[in-house]
Amino acid sequence: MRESTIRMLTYGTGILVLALVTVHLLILSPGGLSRNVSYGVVVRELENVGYSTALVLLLFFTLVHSGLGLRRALIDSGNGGRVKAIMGVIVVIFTIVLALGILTVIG
Amino acid sequence: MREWFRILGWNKERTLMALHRITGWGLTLFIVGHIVFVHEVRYGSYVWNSLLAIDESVLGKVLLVVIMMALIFHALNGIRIMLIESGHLLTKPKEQEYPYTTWLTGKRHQIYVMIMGVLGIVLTIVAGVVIFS
Repeated sequence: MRESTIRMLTYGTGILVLALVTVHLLILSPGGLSRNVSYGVVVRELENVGYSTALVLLLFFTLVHSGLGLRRALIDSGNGGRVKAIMGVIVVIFTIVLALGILTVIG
Repeated sequence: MREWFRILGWNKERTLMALHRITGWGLTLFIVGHIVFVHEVRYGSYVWNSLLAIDESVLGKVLLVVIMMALIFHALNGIRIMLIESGHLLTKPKEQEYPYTTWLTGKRHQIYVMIMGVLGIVLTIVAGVVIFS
């Protein structure tokens, strides 16, 4: 993949993360954080299919954006030769995190 | 990599870029921890409420405000980077005359950085009110 395409992918996922995180925070805000993170409210919100899907998408786009950012930092730091190996480890960790996120929603 | 964090001789762009990277790494660590934390809701109200005690403590709330600050900065600076790369915050090309100027000191970029600062402070206060209420 060309570097310019990867850069556009970083920007695109960044915009999507910004939009979805805004929705996430707006839903968490009314009435204060303490009320909205209580067990009953969290379980009820996770049962909402639309909101749960948005959260999984938010997690996916965040992990892609983070992964691309880490890749950029590795290349800029002069560790270009080791990018593939380190990114392999990061992809494995991020896949586990995504799976855990999906399990939380559908659990 | 040491060059990224060299304090002497920094210009505004370099400082903002270093902060962008630091906040990005911090937010990446947070999201991993956040997902592991939220997953505990599947183990029942007892486990969830015991973990919630961390969130409810003053230290937990201060940490959340710091994370919100990092998120707000990363978002506003990310938009700045996109606007620079799309040419919206750059000055029009012209023949250079002494004293030389760069896009960094251009009016559009300066205004955006000022708006970024004000908006960042306002949004952090709003986040603080929500977290501590």
